[in-house]
Amino acid sequence: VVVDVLGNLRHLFIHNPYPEVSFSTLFNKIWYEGYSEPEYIWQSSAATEEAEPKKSLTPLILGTVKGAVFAMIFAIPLALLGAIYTSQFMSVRLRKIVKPAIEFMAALPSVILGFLGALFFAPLLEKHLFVILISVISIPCFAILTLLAWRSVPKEITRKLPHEADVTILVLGLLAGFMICVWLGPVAEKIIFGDFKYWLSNVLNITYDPRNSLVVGFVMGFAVIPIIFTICEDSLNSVPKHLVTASLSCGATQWQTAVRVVLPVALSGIYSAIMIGFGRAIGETMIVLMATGNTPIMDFNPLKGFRALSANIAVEIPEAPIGESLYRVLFLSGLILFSITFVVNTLAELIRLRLRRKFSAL
Amino acid sequence: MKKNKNNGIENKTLLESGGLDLKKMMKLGEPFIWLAGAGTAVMMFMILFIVSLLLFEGAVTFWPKKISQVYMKDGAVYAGYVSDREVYREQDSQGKILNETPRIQLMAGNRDITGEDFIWIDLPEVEKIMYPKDVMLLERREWGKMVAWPVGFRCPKREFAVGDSDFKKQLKKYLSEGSKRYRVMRSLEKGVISNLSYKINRLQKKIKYLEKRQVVDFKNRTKRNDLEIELSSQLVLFEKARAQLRELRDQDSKFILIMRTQDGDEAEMTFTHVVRALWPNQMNIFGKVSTYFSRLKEFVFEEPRESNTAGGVFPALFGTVMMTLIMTLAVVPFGVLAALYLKEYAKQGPLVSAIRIAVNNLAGVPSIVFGMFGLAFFVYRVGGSIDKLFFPDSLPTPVFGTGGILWASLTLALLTLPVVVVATEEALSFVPKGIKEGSLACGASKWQTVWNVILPSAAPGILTGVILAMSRGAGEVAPLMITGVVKLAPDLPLDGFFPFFHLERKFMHLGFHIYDVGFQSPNVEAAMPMVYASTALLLLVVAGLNFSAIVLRNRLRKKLSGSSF
Repeated sequence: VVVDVLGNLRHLFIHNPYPEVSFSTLFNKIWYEGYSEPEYIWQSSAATEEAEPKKSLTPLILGTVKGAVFAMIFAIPLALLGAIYTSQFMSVRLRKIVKPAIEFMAALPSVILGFLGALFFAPLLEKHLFVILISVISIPCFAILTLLAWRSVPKEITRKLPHEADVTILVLGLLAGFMICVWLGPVAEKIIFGDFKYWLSNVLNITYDPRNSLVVGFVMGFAVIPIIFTICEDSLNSVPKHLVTASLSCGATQWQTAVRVVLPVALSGIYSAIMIGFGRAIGETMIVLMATGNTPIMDFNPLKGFRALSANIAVEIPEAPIGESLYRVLFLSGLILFSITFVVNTLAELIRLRLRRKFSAL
Repeated sequence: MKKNKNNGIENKTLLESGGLDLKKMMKLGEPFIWLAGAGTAVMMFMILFIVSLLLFEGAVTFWPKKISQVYMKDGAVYAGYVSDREVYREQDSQGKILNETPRIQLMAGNRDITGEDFIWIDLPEVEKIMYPKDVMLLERREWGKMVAWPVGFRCPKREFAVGDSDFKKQLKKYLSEGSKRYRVMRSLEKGVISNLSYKINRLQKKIKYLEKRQVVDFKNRTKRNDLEIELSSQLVLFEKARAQLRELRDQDSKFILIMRTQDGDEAEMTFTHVVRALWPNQMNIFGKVSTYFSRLKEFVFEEPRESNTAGGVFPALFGTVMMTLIMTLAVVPFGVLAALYLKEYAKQGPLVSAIRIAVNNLAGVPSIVFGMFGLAFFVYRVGGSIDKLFFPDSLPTPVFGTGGILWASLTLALLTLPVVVVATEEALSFVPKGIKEGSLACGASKWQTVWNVILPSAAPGILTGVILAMSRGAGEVAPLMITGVVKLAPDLPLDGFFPFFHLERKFMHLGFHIYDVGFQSPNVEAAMPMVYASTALLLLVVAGLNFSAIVLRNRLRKKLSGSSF
């Protein structure tokens, strides 16, 4: 009921069948009944009849980005290093094994990876968090140590060994390093922290979920590695050969050639590989559905879970009644996913086209 | 690679001068090269580890294990096979470790009696472990496994007790008879009776349809009469089969096996209740191998039992294969034609490159978004309209207006379209220009050239793309979850009734089976071996498809490099 300018009483019908959905409910903090402060909350079906559905997409978007970022942190270094090594320094014989193996990784169904992440790696990480973290940090150190050890062996011996001996030595060195981590890790943990997780939760105040973002980062990283690797390797490999030979014949070492000639030329290909990998990580569904706790929370703690847009859709859309607000909000989140990947992929594709033009011009 | 050899020589000349020269090492970038090598090695380790873990865990699932009898210091005795071991950390509320104890997990079975399949046993508390010879492991149709000692069994004519001289022989004989009886009963129930009930259902529907028409003329009435006569005869048959089944069940219930568990509880069951009876501690290697293969066969060819946590995965495997085939049928014509048009017919320009970008983009769209599209467009729009037009009788129960194998396959066909298009285009661009121009110069029309010359020589490449699309489709789960996969489908989408392919039916899928059993089953621990086995099976399916694609690709390359063009 409203009063107009002339003082007459009038009825004004407000037609809003979906009061719980508006731009601000979807993306801003809302002060819901029973909460002490405004928050971002996703809770589509409430426990009681009266409670209103809370549909904030912000924690879900954050969760999606969180998962993708952790996956990329894990995947980019490995895939890039692998691509550089495979395309520039590896012998043909080894490359014939390594490349198809990594391409086969791309064919691993994500449901298998998700299952492994949730039911194998998550318990493993929970038990041996410290050892795993320590070995991740120390593996590069062990690579360098192995190199130093290998180079201090007198030349007379190394020359007699076959050319690929250094690869074997490297692999053995890494294995030995990993073993050392596994043996000494628990001891070091006891000496330094007593119990690492206890230390985390009591000293640093970090809580630990068994199915957390680290697990997702590892498993989803595993899913995007082959994509990044393949595209990177292809673009590194398609750098015109005359550039490489010119650089080598000018006296540059192979490393100098790789870093100063090959890498800059192929750089845009690497960018596009990373973007395509990111797009894949954003949209990955089964892994985030299985390997996270699926709790919609807002934080960037790597030891906690999250809920991603894609997993949210997979969980809720079978129960969403057609045409109702939940159904529409879920489709909106699908649209968001689509537009993110669309933009990323189009950009990557444009970059790749430019790269191809550059190569043909060279 | 030539480059590499060069480098080897160069390396040696640079390193000739001495042992550990850090400056030269930096100049050669060796630390970085080794780091990069380490990255590659780590990736390879991970692949090897994951694949071998899955294959190993999947393979050992069916191996029969020894049953141990664990005597505790406090006098308690447990029997079962060891299924897991770990070091248990007792922690206070803040997570501080109080003490650590090594412990083993026993799969003790007997869920119906004790309520739990698994028991954790602290090793320091154990007094001794025995391996009794006469303990049996029964795999049952309900309640999971049973670890127990046979006491005796009753037949209509005589009774046997465990002391009898030929007890084991007789027991084996009756067990195999029991499984024969089970097969007879099952074929009666699933074959004859379900056939009859299907027919009766159809007849009733027809009669109802005629009644609804309300045109009461002579033809209509005679038709109705005929149908009703047929219906009543079918009903008689149906009742007869039911009676037969009841009789068989009555007869079967007179054969009773009596077992005693470790705790002394006696359990009685019919012989048909037992799927497989083993004496694991008496088995030699041949017995173990034959049990292994019998379990493997059951896993691949039988239906699941006990809410998917035991038995086989045949419906899921069948659903996966059938869905992949329908998807292939849908995607290949579209994909190949689109690629042909883009490559051979369309004028290369901004529009075509925009289409190419769009196709590549399609490959990057999240699979769940495809699933949503499938749900909204195929299931609700197309399926809903089909229901309104062709199946108005059965509304509001949807026929095509709900998830089904057809919609799931079409959704996946959209998802795998870019794979086929890209691979076909690539294969077409591999076709030597000389062949094409030769054909055109001989006076063949463009279509003749495409059909008779270009397509055949591009066929292996196209096939590679198709196989890659199939492997992608077979492994994809997320879009299926919302377009028609269920955890337990009552019927296969293919059977003996017209129209044979039931495209509207919901189906089971290996990938979803893994998700469902591993995450949503009530007894996850008991189901874990099954999940590993299904995972290994799915991995083998996908790997097999990929491997054949690689072989095809290599053969194609060889063939092309061998040609004189």
